[in-house]
Amino acid sequence: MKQSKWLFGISGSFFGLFILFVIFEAFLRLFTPPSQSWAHIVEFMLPNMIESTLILAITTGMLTAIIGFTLAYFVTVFDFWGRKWMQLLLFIPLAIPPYILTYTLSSMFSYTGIVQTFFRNTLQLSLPGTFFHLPPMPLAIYVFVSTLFPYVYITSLGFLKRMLGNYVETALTMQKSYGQIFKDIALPLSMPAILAGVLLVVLEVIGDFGVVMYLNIPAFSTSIFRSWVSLGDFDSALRLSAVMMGFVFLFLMIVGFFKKKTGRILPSKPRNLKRKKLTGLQGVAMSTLFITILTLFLVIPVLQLLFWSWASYANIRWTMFINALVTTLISSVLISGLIVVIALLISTDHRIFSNLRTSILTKISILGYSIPGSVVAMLVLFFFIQISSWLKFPLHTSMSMLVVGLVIRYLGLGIQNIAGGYRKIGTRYHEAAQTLGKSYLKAWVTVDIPLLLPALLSGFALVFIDVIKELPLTLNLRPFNYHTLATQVYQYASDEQVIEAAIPSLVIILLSALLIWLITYPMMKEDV
Amino acid sequence: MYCQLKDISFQYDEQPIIHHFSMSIEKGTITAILGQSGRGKSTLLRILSGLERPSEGVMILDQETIIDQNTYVESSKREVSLVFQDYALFPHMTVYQNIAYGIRRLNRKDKHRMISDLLEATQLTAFSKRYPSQLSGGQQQRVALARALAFSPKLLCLDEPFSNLDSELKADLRVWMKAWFKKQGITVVLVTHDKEDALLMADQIIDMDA
Amino acid sequence: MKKFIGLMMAILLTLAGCTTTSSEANQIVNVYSSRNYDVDKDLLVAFEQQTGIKVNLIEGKGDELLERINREKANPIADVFITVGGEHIYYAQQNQLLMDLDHSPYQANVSDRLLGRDWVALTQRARVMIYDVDAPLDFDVKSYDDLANEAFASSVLSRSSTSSYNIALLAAMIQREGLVKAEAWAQGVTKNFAQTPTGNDRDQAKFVMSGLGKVAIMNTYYIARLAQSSDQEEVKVAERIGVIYPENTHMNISWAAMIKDSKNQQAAQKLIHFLMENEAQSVYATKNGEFPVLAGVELSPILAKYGEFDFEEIDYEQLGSYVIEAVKIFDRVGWN
Repeated sequence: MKQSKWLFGISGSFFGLFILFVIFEAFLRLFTPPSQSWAHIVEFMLPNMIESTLILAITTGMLTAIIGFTLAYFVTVFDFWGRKWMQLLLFIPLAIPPYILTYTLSSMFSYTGIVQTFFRNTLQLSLPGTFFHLPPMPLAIYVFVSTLFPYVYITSLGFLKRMLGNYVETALTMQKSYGQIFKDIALPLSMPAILAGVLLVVLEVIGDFGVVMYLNIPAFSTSIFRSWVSLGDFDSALRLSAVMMGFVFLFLMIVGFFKKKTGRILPSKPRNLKRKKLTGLQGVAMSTLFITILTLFLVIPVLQLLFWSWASYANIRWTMFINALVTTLISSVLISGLIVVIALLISTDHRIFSNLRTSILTKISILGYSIPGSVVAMLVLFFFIQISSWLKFPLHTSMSMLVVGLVIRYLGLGIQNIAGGYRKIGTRYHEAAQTLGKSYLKAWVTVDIPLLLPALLSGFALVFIDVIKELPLTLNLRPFNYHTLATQVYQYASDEQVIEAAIPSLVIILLSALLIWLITYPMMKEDV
Repeated sequence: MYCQLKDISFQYDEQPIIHHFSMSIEKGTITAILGQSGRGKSTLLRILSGLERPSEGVMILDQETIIDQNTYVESSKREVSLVFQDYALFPHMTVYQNIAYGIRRLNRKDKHRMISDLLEATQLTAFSKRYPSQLSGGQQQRVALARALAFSPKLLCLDEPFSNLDSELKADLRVWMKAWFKKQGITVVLVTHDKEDALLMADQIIDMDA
Repeated sequence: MKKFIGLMMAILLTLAGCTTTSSEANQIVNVYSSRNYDVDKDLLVAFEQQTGIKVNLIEGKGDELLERINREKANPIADVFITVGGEHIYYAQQNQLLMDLDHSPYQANVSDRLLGRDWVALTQRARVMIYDVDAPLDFDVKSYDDLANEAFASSVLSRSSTSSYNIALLAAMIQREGLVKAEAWAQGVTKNFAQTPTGNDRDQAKFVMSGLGKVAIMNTYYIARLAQSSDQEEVKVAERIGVIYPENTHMNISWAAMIKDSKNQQAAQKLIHFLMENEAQSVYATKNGEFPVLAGVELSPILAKYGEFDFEEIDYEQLGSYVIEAVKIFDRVGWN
């Protein structure tokens, strides 16, 4: 019995230490004397960088919290026309990679885009170009909010559906309005769930590269790239990454603090709430709200991509495309699966021992999620070249390098999900199984794993949709002749052929949407 | 007659749960609804408090028609309190805040006096700043009662009020509750599966098994 | 569970196995390229068919690939490196990553400034100024300096200084005219910006057409690509572009080189020769809208339309040494 426990301890420690080992180089830089460009970076880049990153992270975090939670609340307490399918469709914007949405929106509103050509050619109205100009910062925030709000929506919805019933009904009999219930009860009680969603949103925003690069916003990842590539100063780039990881650590601590503060007990018997049917004007208004949001965040970009696909299909090299599609499918499924398995081992380790060692290991494993992909790529590359020269075998030309890079980058996402799943099921069932004479391992396999299945699946889905659209690691660490749909999108987009990027973009969105749908559908079906 | 139900029927997923049920309640009395689980006792309370809508029937409360063919008064306009089996105390509010949450139309001073009175009556004064998670089952039960009464309802519904309590506590609480309800003149409907509860507390017993 | 992990590992290793490379005979050539264009892939396929030599390709960004080559120096994987941006030559030479090339097949037909001991340019792109032909400029613009002219207050458009094209442009200016003048120029242009730099090269043309500014800095390459776009509206934009080739027009080069201690030198050399042949050069010119380096190759119609011009004479091998200064200037003058 003891031995099987240590199996988890050892494997958990192994993966944690391995990651630490790989990213250690970034921290080492903090203790070496700064390079000559560092003063320049501190004077001209650091202030802008902190300012824009904070603006992006805070605004996006707040807006996703408001939108995601409000929609989840409406869907939980009200019934209105289209609720059943619209509550599912609201997950799908998560399938749109933010960088693809950025290209799409910028092109739509550009001089040759559908909006301006409509005014110019169809309405014969010549409006000044400034009228259509989308300023970079608001556009970036719009893109992040519209693609990332489902994170908050998902976590809030899961919570509200399970937990809200009795509280809302009690308040209803006290003559409270749905507005008052939102403010006094639903919102404060849901804080931990909202924070969990916002945490993912903020980590995605900080780690983003494609959007800020295209829009030229001097955020952390653009500055890291600039000091490395333009100033040729990799040391400073790593130093900046370390600063950024410091920020992320701080943020994780703040979130942890709030979670602790708000995380109190919940009723023993959660029950579904009876929804209030909205009729007449209220019903129309609510349905319109949902339709508007779906149109803005989902229908318009997808329609535009469909239209471009039709315009560009003649230029697509189909053998190359099919090749990339097959590679993308196989590798995304395998790598996401591997990440979930490792995340499971580390979370189980933390659950069994839950001491300082495991909580530090868990935090380390989440770190990779906050370092920009290109920095992770370089750290992994250095590490592999070192190892290869020791082993006298060119490991760094194989797929293993890319696999390790992606594992380090997205392990945190998997752990977040699985650790959450463990918290939800608690230890009662496991203990019950053990008192029935099952060994730890046996109890784990027969009781915990089946109960964890939803968390494992949703972890897999979230990792998958990140891996399938991943760029910097894939570009830097891939073996020979390895092309994915994302690299095709990148190729066309970096050659400023947004229209040709439409077909691979659409396929990425479709695959991700399919996965989200498969995983959320049974969850939603329980209560129609 | 203070409160009347006539020919109330309710279906869930096309399964009839309640079939042509009628009852009458006098003001200031305690009515116990007795029955095995699955007989629609809790559903009846949910219909009284407006959380479920019956497929047919009439409900009258304090000379006002609450439900008939043309009328349906929403729960938020009915002034019927429901105490859930698990109390549903708001976990993010203190005992004081929980009780205060239900009070209507009072200025701050009167509000505070009312809460103090309720805390005293329920012997919770010392716990006013605690959170529900820091209370025992009996204390939680009393907070839930105080909160429901702070609302000054026309009708108080209690769903299995003693099911989460041990027998000693239950005996004490039954006696105390009955005395208190009588003193305040509150009209109560309670649901229970325990005949002893019903016999001890109620002025009128309605047996759903019959 | 263990079986599952085992199975997954097996599959991953097989995947890895397909892609590891060994150098049996000289039948393969390993290419690191930042020219991620479809025509480049077509050319590599054509090379495979013509010679029977298998081409293994890793695509990426130039700087990152070069960093990788440097890290792999002890045991090089790449045989040929192809990239966009003459400024990278400096880094490659400083770190002794390249080896001497045999230029004999094409030397007579390529200008001396476009090849060195260990590198050869494949194509060129001119960084020009553009305007809307329907809104002609008020005065005769002759040089980059005119962008800093007060007459262009609030009417100059450019992409960000993160763009390697802009960095190379300023680095070339430092090389030609010195730090002080280059900084004054960047300062003047920044003052004249119509908006904070954003978007890519094509976007700058669209900004001009929509009246956000009068004049923009843009690569000829993207003008040619606009003209070939799948979107008719983009083609219309290309037709409305007026091009000004300034004095000393900055020429951005794509170049190829062989990696030092390459394991497939013969094949590598063959590939570079292939890319310098008439056919390949003509593909670059007509299909991808770049200026060929080989004399006598026909230009794409849209570029031919703009005629002869005066280009800068710079030392590409030294260009990279001015990059850091260029970036610092951009930061100092606030050209984002």
